[in-house]
Order: sequence, then structure tokens, then C-alpha cells
Amino acid sequence: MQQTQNTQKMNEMINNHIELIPHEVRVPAEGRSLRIVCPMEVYNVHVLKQCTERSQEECNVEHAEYKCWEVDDFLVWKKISKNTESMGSCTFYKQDTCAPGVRSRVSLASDLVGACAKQKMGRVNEYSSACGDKNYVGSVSVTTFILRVMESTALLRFASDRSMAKNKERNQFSVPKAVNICYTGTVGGNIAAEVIRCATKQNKKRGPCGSEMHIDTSMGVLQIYGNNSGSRKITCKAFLKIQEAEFIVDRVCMMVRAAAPLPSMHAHPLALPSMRAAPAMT
Amino acid sequence: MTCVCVCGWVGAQLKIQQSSELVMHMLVLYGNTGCKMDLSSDGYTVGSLRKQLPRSSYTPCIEEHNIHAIFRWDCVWNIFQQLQGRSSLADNPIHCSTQDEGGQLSSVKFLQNTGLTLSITTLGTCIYRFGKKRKLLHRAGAEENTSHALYSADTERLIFKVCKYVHDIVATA
Repeated sequence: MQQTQNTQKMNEMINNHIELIPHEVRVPAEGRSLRIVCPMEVYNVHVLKQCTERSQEECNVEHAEYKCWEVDDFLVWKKISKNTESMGSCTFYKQDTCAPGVRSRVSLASDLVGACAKQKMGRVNEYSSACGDKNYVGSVSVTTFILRVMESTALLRFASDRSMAKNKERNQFSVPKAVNICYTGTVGGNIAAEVIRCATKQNKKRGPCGSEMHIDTSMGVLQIYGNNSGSRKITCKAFLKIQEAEFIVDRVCMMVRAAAPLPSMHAHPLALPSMRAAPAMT
Repeated sequence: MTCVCVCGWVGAQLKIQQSSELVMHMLVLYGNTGCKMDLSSDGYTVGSLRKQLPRSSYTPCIEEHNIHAIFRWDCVWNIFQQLQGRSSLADNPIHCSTQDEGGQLSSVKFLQNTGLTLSITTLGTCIYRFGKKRKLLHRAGAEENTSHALYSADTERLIFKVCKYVHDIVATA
């Protein structure tokens, strides 16, 4: 979905209330609605499967504020639109209350979305004379996100991009540890590159960064570059110590030394994480 | 390891030989000071590093652009010498290593041609990048010397120790 101000608002909502939002939600053919209720805020998310192309996907936002007064044994709600096209327009509702006299700001949002039915009064507040400062309970902000997504959408997943920021370990002292070491070296001679590429399941004719062969292992990546007057540059990338890089170079040497066809790298012990602790090669 | 041989599974000897040992060209370490850092030009961190470590170049945080400052040392060897000077003889890192004299000389040579870039954020995240590229850019002609400096596990251990030394200073700055 194209990033807009509306999707940004939705991201903020997800980030701020990730603990209240289900991790994933299945979306049936008729669409799906979610409601997130906070003490003074309510968020509605309506997912509609209406798009046949990705470019059609969009997010619309509607925002309203509900002010509340307690009158006798019912509540009077004043809905004030915050949308650009209908800014400030008001609608009044009357709602039976389940527990009169115990209203507080904490439960107000729950009241608004609760089971007690609301009767629409229209643009006129029939109880305007009874709604004053003394019986004013508070207000609830209601934001509704309308997501139009591809018809083929089956599942929605919600994730917070602030999860890293909330990681408490992030600011704990840590001794510097190697995270990426790259080495270079050279080899000379003839290599049957095509056969090695085939055995290591390297589909492309060339590996990344202009390399001729690319051997990915659990310890790091070994790249062998093209022949330059009998000499080939090799690079060992993303290793954590030189012993491991030397170990991999040695293993590759041993593998190709065998008279039998080169075993698959995926089935080879090199690919096993446990081999990370392997002793250094000689 | 001196030789890498590659034979074809068709049975033919392909005579592949490793013609040079592996040499580190980039080493990145990650650490955290565990506290927020004052990275302003006249702040505590900058002042403290200037006092306690050899001369470095400093690039301050660019307001409203990033939150990390960069310190650069062109020669890691200078930091290592300082570390050696402060260490007691018993735990002197270069003497603790298993290197012979030739290996030690090689490590020294390598450190002399290696630079360090420290990127540090206001949250205390530190990225240490060791490499020879910047050094070579500044000193054209030094490449030949560097290429002959062998790199070993001991050299790498010395680099880790230099990094830990710098990090301890940064974390207590």
C-alpha cells in the first residue's frame, strides 16, 4: 500500500497500541473489522477486500470526538466531526446507561462502544438545557481507519516498528563484539567454475559483487573472483574471526579435492550451526 | 594453511594453489556504553577522548540530520602503544600472544597500517570499524608495505584488545 499521511497515522496507532492489537487477523470474503478501546480513545479498523490491483489499495481515516453528559439515568453524546469535509458538524445521541452514577473518564470509551443501544437524536440536542458543566463526564476520541485491500488478501499481520526501541537490552552495556569481518586472499590455477556453481546450486552465471563463484556457509560467505592471468582474488565476508574464514577455505579445498562429485553445501556439515565452534584449521 | 587444491570430480588435478594468506580488510565490532552520551563538540565525551586517547579527527552530530558522532584514528598502532604502556608487563597483550618474533613484527606492521573509525550515537551505540583503506588514501605508496604484513589470529586478537580498550574509555567518558 502506498505510504500516505493516513497510513502514517495508522502506523502510529499500531506502534502506540501494539499490545492491544492481535498479532494476526484472518480476513474473510466480506472483510473484517477490529476495535481497539483505550480509556479515552477508540480505534476502528475496517478492512474491505475491494481492490484488484495493488495500486488501488488505500487507507482512509475518519476522526470524531464524542462529548458526554450524564442526564438522569442515561447519557447524552455529542459527536463532533474532525474530518476536513465535515469539520465541526454535530450529531447527538442518547444512550441508556447500565450503571448510572459511576461514570468516570476511565470507562467512558467502553460506554461509548458498549452494548447499551444509542438512539440518534440528529442535529438537535433534546436535552441541551440539562447538559452543563456539572454533569459533563468527558470526551472520547474515535478514529476509524478504512483499509481497501486486494481481494486476494487472506491474512493481516500487525507489527510494531518500534519493537527495537522498546528493547530494554538495547541500552545495556556490552563489550564490543565482532559482527562482520571481511578478508581477502588470492588463489592461482584452473577452477572448473561451472561444475562448482552447479554443485553449490548457484543458478546465476556470476555471484554478487562481480564474483564468479559464491559459496554461502553458516560462518560467512566465500567469493571467488574471475581469472586474472592465473590468479584469482577470493573474499571471505561476514565472518566473526579469521579461524572460521580459514576453516571455510580449507573445507572448500577438501571438498573439491575429492574425486567424487562435490557434495551439496546444504547437506554438508558446513551448513550446520554447531560447526561454528569448530576448531581452527591448521 | 599454505595451499588450496581443487581437483575435478572428473578426476583431473586442477592444481589450485592459494598464493596469499587471508588478510583482513574490514573488521566491524558492535558495543554499547550502557548510558546516554554527550556528543556535542565541547561536550564531555569529546573532551574525555581527547585527553585519554591519541589524537583523533572528530565529526560532530549534524543537528536534525543524524544522532551519531564519528571519531577517526589513522593509526591503530598509536592506541596499541598507549595500551601497552598502561598494561603491566604480566598482562602485556603483545607478550601474551603465541606469536614468534616474525609474527609479532607482522602484527605491529599491520596495526601501523590500520585505521579505526568509531561511530557513536547519543544512545551509546558504538560501531567500531577497523580497516586500512583510509590510511592508504592518506599515504600513497604505503600499500606495498601493508600487503606484506601478514595477518593472523594473534593480530586479530590484538585488534579486539585495542577495541575493548577504546570502548572502556568511551563507556567511562
